[in-house]
Amino acid sequence: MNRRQFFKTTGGVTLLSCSGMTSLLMDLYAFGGKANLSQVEARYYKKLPEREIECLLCPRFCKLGDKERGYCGVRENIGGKYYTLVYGKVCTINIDPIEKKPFFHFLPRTNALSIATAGCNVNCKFCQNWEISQVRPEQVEHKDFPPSMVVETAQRYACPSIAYTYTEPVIFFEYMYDTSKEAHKKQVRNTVVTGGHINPEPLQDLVKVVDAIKIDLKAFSEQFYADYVRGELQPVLEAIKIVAKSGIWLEIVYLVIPSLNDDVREIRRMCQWLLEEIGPEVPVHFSRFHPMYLVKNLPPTPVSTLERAHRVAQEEGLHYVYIGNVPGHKAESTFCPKCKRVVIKRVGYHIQNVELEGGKCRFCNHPIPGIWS
Amino acid sequence: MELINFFPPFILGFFSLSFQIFLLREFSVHFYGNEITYGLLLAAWLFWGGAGSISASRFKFSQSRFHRLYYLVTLLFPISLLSLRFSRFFLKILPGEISGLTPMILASLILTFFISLPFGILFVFNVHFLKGNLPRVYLLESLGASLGGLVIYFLFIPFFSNWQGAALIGALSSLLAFFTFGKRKDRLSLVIILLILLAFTLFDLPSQKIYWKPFHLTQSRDSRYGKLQAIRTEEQISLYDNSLLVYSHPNLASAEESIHFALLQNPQAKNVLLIGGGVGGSLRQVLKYPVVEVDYVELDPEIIHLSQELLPEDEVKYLESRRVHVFFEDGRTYLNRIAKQYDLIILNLPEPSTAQINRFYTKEFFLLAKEKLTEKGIFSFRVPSAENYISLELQNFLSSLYFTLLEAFPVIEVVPGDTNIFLASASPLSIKHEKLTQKIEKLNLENSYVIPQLLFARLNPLRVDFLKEKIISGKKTINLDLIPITYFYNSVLWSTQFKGLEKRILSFLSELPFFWLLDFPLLLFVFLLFFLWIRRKKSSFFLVPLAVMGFTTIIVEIIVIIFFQTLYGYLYGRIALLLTSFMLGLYLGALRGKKRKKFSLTQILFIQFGFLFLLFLLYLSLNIRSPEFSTYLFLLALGFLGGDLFVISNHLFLKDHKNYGLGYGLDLMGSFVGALIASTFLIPLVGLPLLVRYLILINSFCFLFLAGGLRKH
Repeated sequence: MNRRQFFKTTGGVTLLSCSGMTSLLMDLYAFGGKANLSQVEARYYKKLPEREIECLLCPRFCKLGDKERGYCGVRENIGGKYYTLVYGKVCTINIDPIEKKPFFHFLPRTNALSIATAGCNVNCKFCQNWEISQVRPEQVEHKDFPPSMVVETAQRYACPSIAYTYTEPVIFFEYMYDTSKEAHKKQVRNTVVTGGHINPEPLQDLVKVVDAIKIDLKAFSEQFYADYVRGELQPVLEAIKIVAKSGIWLEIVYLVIPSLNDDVREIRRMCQWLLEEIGPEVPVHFSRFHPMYLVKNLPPTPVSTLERAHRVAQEEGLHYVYIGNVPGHKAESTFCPKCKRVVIKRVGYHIQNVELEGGKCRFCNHPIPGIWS
Repeated sequence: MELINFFPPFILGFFSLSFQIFLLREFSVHFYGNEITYGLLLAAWLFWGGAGSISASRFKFSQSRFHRLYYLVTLLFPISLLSLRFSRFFLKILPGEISGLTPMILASLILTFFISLPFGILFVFNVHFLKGNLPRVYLLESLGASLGGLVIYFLFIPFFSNWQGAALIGALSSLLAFFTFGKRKDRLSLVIILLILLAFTLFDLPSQKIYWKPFHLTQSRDSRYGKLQAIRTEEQISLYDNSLLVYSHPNLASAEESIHFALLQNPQAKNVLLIGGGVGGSLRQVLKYPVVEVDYVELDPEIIHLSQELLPEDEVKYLESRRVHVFFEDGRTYLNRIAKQYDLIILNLPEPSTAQINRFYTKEFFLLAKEKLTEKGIFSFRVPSAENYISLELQNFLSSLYFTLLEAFPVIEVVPGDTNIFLASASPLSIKHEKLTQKIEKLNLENSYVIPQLLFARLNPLRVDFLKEKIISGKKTINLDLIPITYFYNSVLWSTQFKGLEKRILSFLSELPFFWLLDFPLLLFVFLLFFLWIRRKKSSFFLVPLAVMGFTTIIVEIIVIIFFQTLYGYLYGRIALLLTSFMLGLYLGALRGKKRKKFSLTQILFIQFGFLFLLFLLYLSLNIRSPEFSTYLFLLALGFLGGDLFVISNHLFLKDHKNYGLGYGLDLMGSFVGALIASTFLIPLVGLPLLVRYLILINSFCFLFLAGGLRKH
């Protein structure tokens, strides 16, 4: 073989490789697939010069240039306008008992049509729904589910309420807000299951259109929020105060993770704060941690830890303290704070007995707060 | 031969392999020990060894440097183990928290850099030390390595913890090094090293306790199969095996769901086989059914012994019940040999996260289980899943399990939830919550989690149907012993938990057409060979076969180990024997090579033909059950050819060049590439038969290349 032949061959093979590489690159690009995203203008943002924006929805206050996305991954600056990419795009639809959220003082024995889009504005290492919360919207399959369809579906399946849940509803705020308004027109209620990382202004607007909010208070320490949530405690506490003042129904869940946030002093401080800022009537759930996601090898919470937290909360004066994820435990039931008798007997998600009349204890007539019908 | 000439290369081989084994065992504790991990670590080890060997020419050889390097490596090893143990503090993760591929790759590269690179340099220094006698060094190193493997697996691991074993090996090696070439003034250094090693050993348990903070470690034991650790949180005891949670006691959720969904299908079941996981609470659940008798098979007896020490009496008593019969062996081996018929077989093992465990989720195993079940018998297992969303990766994983199961059982039901329980039978099954509720109430079962009050939500028909529909509409792949695709899908699924590159790369690889995986690299290789042939450089004809040999032999070793286990079950020490056979072969081959009077390219060609022959044999044997000893013979022959090739190639190359390390380095580099791609994705994705054919192709092209070279020269 001479040089010319050699170069011909080399050239040929190089060309082949290049076209091959191009094809490979196209394969790579196409691998992402075409995502089903929305382009609805977001609310709560501020336009800045040079096509930049500042998001005002949550305490991250993301400042974004053109084509950049917020931390949550589901809101994008396109040419100086901020858009939500998941408006009307759900990745999960379920019908769950309301007790599963958990809401124990809200429409007991009913089902909630539960929906979520992808995304979240924090990164809990123990997230139960990480498959949809710790991803970009392109990485999950979304279905079109506009607000009117949500409400219609809730009615069709006899769900008196809609639950915005699983991931973090704050990041699909516009969708949640509009659906809630639609729902109210048809006498369907709205419940929100959130981590509470939301700014006061949007929250003040939200409480006008929803009926109940459950906030996950992950710990009562900034350090825990920094290390295991990548968030902050203070904004969550502010959110709790706003919801409590608004008059809509509030419940708090504290997921007790052994050795990380189970310190009895921390729990006591939290209860004291709740008592002072909110009052004794707010239901508090101490839930048992089950190994999950990045911490699937951590041990589950011992029941005695939960019982201790329960005892401390009662000692501090909170009236409605529950233990979650321990089916059959007596602390699943609601006790009248006055006569101490069981007014709602629960096992798991199932309510065995309700001893309430007109929202009051049947035995001593003490009012039990909640939305009972 | 004088001892002074014998020891250094021998220690090198002995030392190097022993460290590799201990490093691998410790690495698995912190970084998810599956074959991908092993492959990555091995690849990193080979890479740095090769790099060290190739770059050794930059370092001027001197006797004192030579001695000091031995002592240095002796010290570097405990330092690396220490760094490994405390790596979670650098990574800012919790004890037992899983970290992704990126930290794993970084850790393996960094740790092996400090140990394997010096070993690579030491190889070349040994050649200088023996006045250029490369074959002797290779020979002795192989001998040291083969002995090292045997000693570690049969004398050290059964009796010492990993750190103790590492310290002992370090002490032994430094003593031998001192004895070989140490002077009086080195005595102090030796004493210091020995003291450091002693301190290292004493720090084992305290360092584990620090690792587990804020949790409270109460016990630790290195069993043959892994590191068993017990954590106490209040009244709860959690047992870990290589940092994976085996069970928490009491934790009824896990124990109940593993048993009741299955047993409720036939509460009158008499003979139940439980493979794995009984001691963590499942036995108690099974024995709630009055007529049941359980055969409980557990691979690692240490799990039972440790549990007997840790758990309260009222849990341990179930092990001693006359209705329970315990067997310590591999579950598949047990099932193969037993003639009994069961009403129910429950697989209570982790999901197929390693190729080893994958053997329990293949068509072959499901058919075996079916054979040992009565006509109405039920087979059940469970895998982690997601309650609220089935991603594409999860769907691929679940569908592969489902369709594989369908090859053996016509009726399958899947219980939705955070864990999916698969139930399979030839007879009708039902997971309607009303039916199960009825049975629970009739039997008066005192459960806490598998209770009607939770079942109605979990078994909501919408959820059940949604899950079934998702699974059935997924990709139809069958998990086979020789094509462990479910194991790969599980690795892909695992990678999606992380946010780095790994999230996309494994997923991407699983969707990639085979053309890019196999044909394209082969084309590039052929092009490279052609290019080298055109260049007419003699050295390529000596060196290319070395790289190809390294690549081929490591992949063949991995293939053989996987295949061996599917046939003969997983038994401690067998892998060591297999690898020892190979290394013994290397030694004998190198010995043969050394004895040659003449060296020529023709000999290399013949050896290459020998490789092809062995590969054909391997391909044929994948379809038959050959006797166990033949595998050892095969690896011996493979090693023999490799050793002989190494000596001949290097002899021919070193006639005109003085780079002692290049040949060895290329051998290792070839092995590095082979280990990397074979373990990470090639084996599970394309399967063993196709991969062997691929190796035959590569070696054929190498053969043609050599034949072309013969013509030229």
